[in-house]
Amino acid sequence: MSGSSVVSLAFVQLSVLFPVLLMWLCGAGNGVRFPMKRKLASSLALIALLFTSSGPLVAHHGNSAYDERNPITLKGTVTDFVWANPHTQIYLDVTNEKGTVAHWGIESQSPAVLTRNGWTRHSLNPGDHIAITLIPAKNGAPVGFSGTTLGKVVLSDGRVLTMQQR
Amino acid sequence: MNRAFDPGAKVRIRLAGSIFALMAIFAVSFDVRAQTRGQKSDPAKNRTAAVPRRDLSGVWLMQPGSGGQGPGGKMPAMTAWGQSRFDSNKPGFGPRATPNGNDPILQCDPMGFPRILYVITPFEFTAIPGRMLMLFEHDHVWREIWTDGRSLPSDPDPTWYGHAVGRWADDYTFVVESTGYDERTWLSAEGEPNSDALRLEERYHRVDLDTIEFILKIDDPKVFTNTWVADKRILKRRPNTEILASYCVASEENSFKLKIREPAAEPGKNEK
Repeated sequence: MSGSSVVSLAFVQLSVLFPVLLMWLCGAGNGVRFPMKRKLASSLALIALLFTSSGPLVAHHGNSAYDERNPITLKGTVTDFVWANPHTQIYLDVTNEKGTVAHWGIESQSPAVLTRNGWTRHSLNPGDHIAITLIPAKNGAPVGFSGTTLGKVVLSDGRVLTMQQR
Repeated sequence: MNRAFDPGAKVRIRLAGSIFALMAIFAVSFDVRAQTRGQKSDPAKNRTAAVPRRDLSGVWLMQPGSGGQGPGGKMPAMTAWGQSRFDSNKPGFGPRATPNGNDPILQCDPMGFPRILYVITPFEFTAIPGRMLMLFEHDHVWREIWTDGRSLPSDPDPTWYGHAVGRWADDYTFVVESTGYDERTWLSAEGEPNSDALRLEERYHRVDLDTIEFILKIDDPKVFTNTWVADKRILKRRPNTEILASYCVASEENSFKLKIREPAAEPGKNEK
């Protein structure tokens, strides 16, 4: 997993853990009576939970086939970029350390959403070397979804393509 | 106050305050980032700007809410028929999510109303004589709300987006009543059904230049034993945003299904 995806994942996990940590810090659950400050802090914790619970962007048909808790970043060579509705698709050859090539199929957001985020149908081309962050299929198949708040593509020249703006 | 039981409370409260401040910085930075991506809007200025009278025109985006891609709120108990329909619906979202369900949109069937409103995709209100139009980016469909004083049809043939009439309850609240919906649609991405007896009341209350409060009431006596009052949701104006063409193209969806959706849904050896 790349450094950037580790950082992104760490942020998501901290977003979930912060409110829980805050409640613990306030003394909830340890039998201590709540003074006013603590009630205030508990309220702030609840607000914090609301801030962080809007959830990730989802695929057209839902994300239940994908492992949202364990996003990965793949480095590989684009074999095709399909500008289709309702899902764009990125096909990628990924070579592992043993030299074995796996052919991945990755869905992303619709052309309209990608357009709003600055993409065009020419943003990716066969032969491009990219790093793509995605949530993989739970069943181990070489397919995934790059379109959540973590989804992004880093091109070989360092440009970053995202898809969060609706 | 009984701090004798917890001598570390003061330290923890201070630490909690620091953590909350950090979270607030994160939240504000995300909000700023969202505002600067393709939108030239000044929220503080717009909150104090004059609210347009009897005017909802513009591009709007439903904000995330407790109902996710659906009405939210307390769903009433279902009738036996409604429960049977609900049980047979296999959604891709929510607590009953399954990877390869039977959501009608997987066939590119029309999403219908009100479900399409809860997809986090922009739509545009525009008024023309006798009608208010809703132009949805999703599926690139439009819905017309008649404002010429006509009544709802008494025995309408069902349609995917229903028959709707609207009126201004006051200068800032537009109320829509509708009926005549096709019962093949789902009310939300989580599979709640509706029947051809569905009636909706929508209230769009414009509270400032950039904000509409939206309240939906769902009456469907074939499906629910009572009125379903949805959670209030917020619509935010999207200045300088154009409605783009986003379709569900059956041939492209079928190709995608074979290459990605079905392989992702097949049981596998490495399944977690």
